[in-house]
Amino acid sequence: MRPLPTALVALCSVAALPAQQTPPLVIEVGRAWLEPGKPIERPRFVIEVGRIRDVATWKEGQDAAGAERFAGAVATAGFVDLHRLAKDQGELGEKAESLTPELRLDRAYDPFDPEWKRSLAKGVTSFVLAPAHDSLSGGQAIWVTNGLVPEPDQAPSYIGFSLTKEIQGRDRRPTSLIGALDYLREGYRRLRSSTPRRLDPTEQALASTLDGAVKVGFVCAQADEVLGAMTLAEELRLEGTIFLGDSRGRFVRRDVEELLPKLRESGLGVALPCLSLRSDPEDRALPAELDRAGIRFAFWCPAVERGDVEGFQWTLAASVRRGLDPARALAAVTSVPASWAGVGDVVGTLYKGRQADLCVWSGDPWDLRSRLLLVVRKGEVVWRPRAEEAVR
Amino acid sequence: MRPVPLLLGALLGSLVPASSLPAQNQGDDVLPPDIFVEGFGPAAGKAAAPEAEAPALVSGTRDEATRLLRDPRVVLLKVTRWFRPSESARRAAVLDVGKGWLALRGGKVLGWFADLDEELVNEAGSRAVDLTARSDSAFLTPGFCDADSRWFRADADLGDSGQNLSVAAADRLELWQEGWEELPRKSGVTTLYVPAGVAARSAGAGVVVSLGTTPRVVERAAASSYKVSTVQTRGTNLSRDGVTKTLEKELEDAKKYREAKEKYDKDLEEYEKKRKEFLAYYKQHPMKAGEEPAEEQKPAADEGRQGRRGRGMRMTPEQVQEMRKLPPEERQKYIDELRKKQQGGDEGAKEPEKPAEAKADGKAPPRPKRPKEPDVDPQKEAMLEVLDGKRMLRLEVHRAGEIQAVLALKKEHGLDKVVLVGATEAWKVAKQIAEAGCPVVLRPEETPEAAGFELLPEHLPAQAARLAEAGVPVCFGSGGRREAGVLPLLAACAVGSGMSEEDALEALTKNAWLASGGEGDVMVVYDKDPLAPDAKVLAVIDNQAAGARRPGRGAGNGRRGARGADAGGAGEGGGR
Amino acid sequence: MRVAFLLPLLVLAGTASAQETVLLRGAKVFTGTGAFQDGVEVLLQGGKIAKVGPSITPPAGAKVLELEGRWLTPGLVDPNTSLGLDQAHVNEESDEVTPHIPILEAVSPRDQSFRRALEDGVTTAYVSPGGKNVFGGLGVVLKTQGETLAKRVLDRGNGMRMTLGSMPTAGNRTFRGGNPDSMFYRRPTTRMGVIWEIRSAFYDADARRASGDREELEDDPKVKTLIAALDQKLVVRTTARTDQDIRTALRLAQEFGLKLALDECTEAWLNLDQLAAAGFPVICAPPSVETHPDNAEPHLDTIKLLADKGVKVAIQTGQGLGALPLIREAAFAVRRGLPRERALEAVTSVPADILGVADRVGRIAEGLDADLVVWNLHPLSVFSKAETVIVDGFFVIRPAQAEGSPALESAGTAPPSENRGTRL
Repeated sequence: MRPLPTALVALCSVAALPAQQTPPLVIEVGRAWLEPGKPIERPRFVIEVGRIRDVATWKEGQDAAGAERFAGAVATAGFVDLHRLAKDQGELGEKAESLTPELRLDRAYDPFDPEWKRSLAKGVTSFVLAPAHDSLSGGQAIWVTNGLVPEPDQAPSYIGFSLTKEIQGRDRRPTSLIGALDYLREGYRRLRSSTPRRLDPTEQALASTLDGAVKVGFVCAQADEVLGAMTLAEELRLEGTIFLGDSRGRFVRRDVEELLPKLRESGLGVALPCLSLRSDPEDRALPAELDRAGIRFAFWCPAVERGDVEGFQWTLAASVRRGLDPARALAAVTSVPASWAGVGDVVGTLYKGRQADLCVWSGDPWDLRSRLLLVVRKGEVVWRPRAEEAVR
Repeated sequence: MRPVPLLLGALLGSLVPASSLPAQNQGDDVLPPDIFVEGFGPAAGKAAAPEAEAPALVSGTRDEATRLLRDPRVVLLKVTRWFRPSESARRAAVLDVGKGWLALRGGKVLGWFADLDEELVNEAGSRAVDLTARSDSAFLTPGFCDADSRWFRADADLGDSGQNLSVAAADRLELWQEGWEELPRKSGVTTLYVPAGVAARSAGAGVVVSLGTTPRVVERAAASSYKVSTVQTRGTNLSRDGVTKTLEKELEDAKKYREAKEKYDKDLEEYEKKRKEFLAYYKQHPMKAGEEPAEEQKPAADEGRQGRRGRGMRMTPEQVQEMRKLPPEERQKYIDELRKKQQGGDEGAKEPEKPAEAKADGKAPPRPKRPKEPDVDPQKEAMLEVLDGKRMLRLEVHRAGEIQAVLALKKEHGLDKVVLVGATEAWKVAKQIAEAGCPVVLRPEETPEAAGFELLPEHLPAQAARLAEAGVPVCFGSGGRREAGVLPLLAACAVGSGMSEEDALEALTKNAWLASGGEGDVMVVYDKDPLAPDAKVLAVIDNQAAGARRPGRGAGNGRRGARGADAGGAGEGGGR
Repeated sequence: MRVAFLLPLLVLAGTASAQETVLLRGAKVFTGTGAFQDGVEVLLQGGKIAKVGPSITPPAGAKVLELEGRWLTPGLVDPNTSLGLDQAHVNEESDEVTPHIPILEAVSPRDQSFRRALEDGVTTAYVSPGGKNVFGGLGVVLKTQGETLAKRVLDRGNGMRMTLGSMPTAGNRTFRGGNPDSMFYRRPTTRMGVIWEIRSAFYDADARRASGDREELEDDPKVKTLIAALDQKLVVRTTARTDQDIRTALRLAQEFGLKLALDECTEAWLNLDQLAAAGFPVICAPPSVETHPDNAEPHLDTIKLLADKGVKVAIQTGQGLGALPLIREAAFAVRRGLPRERALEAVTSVPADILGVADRVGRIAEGLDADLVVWNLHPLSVFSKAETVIVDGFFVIRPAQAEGSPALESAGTAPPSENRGTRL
């Protein structure tokens, strides 16, 4: 992928400013998924100032004046990655202390990193900057639009609690799962202290999760860790998501299968790492299994699986092939992560008034034979297949 | 408990439905096992065959069908569509066959019969299966082939670092490895090329294994492999250039070895002839006492070599005694003189020894000398098979420059069957590869971008599409075991990158066979187009040797025997 | 033919029914104490042992299992294991004193090690925290199989692990470059230092207890746990392998008024009289193991000698020692003169008693959990095998189908099915 001209990106980053008399962007497609499970035939999207101003329909034979028409194509909301780990983790995990829930991830976010453009080309228009897995609590995950300067006061999507073995191996507390749970409990216990006093930022961050204002995201890779997360969530009445997989997306599938009923009871959401070419075949059946068990889930994309064909489209196709309902699959990368990230009324669906994050596919996105034809991010066309790619 | 359904399937015509293989969670969409107990007769409530466009098929006659059905292995199948891979002069095509019945055996469609009467179908009994009753878009295709699998080989064997082209994977095949059943059942993959080794620079004969009711070897000496480069270039002690040179040298050596062998054959012939003459002569002219036949002149080259070693010179006991009397420093001089005398005065010295008659008429032949047989070198023998086009050579290459180098080698040495494996930068030299006619096996490689390769966006499928467009027979390999399940997904991706559906199916079947040196003999029926997002395997058809062999036993015994046993049938391949 | 034969079995496996009423009769029965007896019948009902005695009339609908020629014992109780633990998760090394951390949360309930223990006839196990801390945490007593983890747990805060010897010093060091703020620059680095840590922890706890603001204590689980130990509400599970460690443990117990249970007592044979006088239970290291941590010297007679002195003694497989199955370890002890009954008690009723769960497991008696093992031979025979294992009335291991156990066939009915598919 040739990097997009920096100028274009720079332009996009100021798109949030009120546009001066720019004509609206009108896109017509054969079919669109307003939200997973809700198709609309021949829709016409009128996009202005970064938002979907109107959703109408067009008729066969009608002149597409001023509109860009993709007659046989399918439009979906731009994909939302619920747990975006930066490729360079070094900047993100605080080394000396592992309980740092007060740190905001967007403070270390570079919107001009060429890394993000690769994911734009795969339809990921926004994502949640996730804390590194090697800290017990690496910080507050912040939702950002891919490649745009984030709002400075964007509310955190969740506070990450990593329980995997990745938190160990440093000269700091904790060095084990039991120690990690103990450290978290201790942190929360301090909040209940009988002597009234001003809470420090760490305590404030933890306190914000207690009243449900901010969700938590547990990162787990095996049964004891998942059980620990569920115990803690139940004990402290925390709401949120269990992210399965270490930073490379590896987890013990057998353990998860055993825990399905318990997971459903816990009420926590489950986020599965994207499937890769080398995933175990049974991993591809897990999303369908979760769906059958009545567990809501989303997909997230680990750092290693961003090359070549892997990514959300591959994951959708691979899990649909093993029996997952396509609408559920699409929801797991659009509406579900959007609502879990606290931006369900901003992105993840294509209703009127939503941020104009839009992907146009040549067919259904869960069919690997389909290709992306257009990516619109906050009202700007940011990606099209290059001409020479199509010709050669 | 596990083998039960397998047994059932195998006993009754070996049509193994996807569902009957060991499964934890059987969906509703799969055949219930009772169909095998009841028999294969036309199921109730079958869907009416859709009105099809006239297919490019010629229907066989009833007589032909009757004749085919005499072979107990032949199965009649009704499906909606059939993917027919390309044959020598025929393009690959997806054909509409919903109207009639297909007769198949051993992975081949033997004929298509547009209107078979009910009577004949009933007669076929359990051997006639109407899969259109299961799905109105049932799709028959040869089982897919993983052109680079690791199944049935122990990791330790694959990692053997000895560089030996003469070893054979067939000698150490672990057909009892578990879990292969899911490949045909879940992904339609029924044929695997399994290399002898993957770690060494060169490895011997790989095998082609077919997965039906049981895994069986369909080709024992499929290809030798040779690693010119890897994606991870670090850690190899030879430069890639060096490896190409080494390969070239090994080819040259093999040629020399062949020359030596040919020369020996010729010499041996000559020797036999001379020996006959020699014996015939002395039969007519018996020797007198003390007489000795002349020795044949040795070739000059041999003479020199032996001379250097001090052999080829005969010393009489007296001469030895004499030599011993000399001081040690003068002994060599004595020998040299003696040798000079013997060599220089060959004619003079030997003349009187010749028999009188021989001298007189000049016809007495010398005693012929048996030529020395060259040592058998299995390594070179294997390379010779490659040179002679009897065995394929699979070259792992990645950079465009390497590919060009090996293509040049192929041309120079007239190698018939060269397969490029990996071929990360093949898209740059697609035209040359197409001209050379080399199949290419594409695999998901680990982090090629880290090694500084020039990649396409969506590299693997995009490259497959480009190579196919250029006319290269391209196929996919998993480089793993259970990972083979992604092959149909990769093919679908390639379609997204611009490959035609036929080419994509061809990549999964015919092209992979080309790159493996053996053909699969199991067919698969999908419930719809196999590349569709939610396609599922309806049935796996293994009627290669029903009744001929007990399933579940002697899995490794499936040799070529059954493969060649083609009873005369109507138009192999079906369409004429 | 084979098809017809195999299909019914498929059907059987599918009909799982829980905790049926089953009468076990005809076996030689070891009830947890004494010798094997003939003519004792056991009725299981609702996951409990409903009745034990001669000639019980099976209630209507009860299944009868004829166990002629079989040997019936309570499910074995292993008083110290690391079942279900991921070793990376069991030592919180950021502090030496973590007596309050429950190991239960590091247990993977479906770990294969539980299945293996079950196959060796172990139905209850004590899972202990790691030994790299002076105070490692709270152990847990749980069944090796069960419907949910919660149902499997008999006691979630059982025994506070205290480790003597050199193990807690591992990792601690003086400043030798590197991070000057390293958490590993701390005591203890010697055996004496370990004892210093213990004393200072108990002293502090004692002082807090004396001055104690109850509410504040609630916020400090660490001190709360130590105080529970000082109040003898919590057994201190002391790992004391060598002679001097055992003596130290006894001295500390006297000093602080602790209730001990001694773990991995390898050199107990050097302190027989002291141990007998102290009256604490001793959990012996597996007798088949020859190399022990801390270079403790094992003696094959240890268990017999302790039993002779009247010490309450149990046998453990331990943590990472490479022990044989628990029943084989008991057989090892018998080889050196321990009476058979004592050996069987040391893996059933005695450990249940030490763990404080004797009202649930360890014996075959009315009202206790239906945890039983049917052995093909005398369990202490080297050829013995746990043919049938029953946990909470579930037949979790049954004789292999193919072998066609005559006992099951003559019963004319299948026992309740394997409890594999149950949930956590």
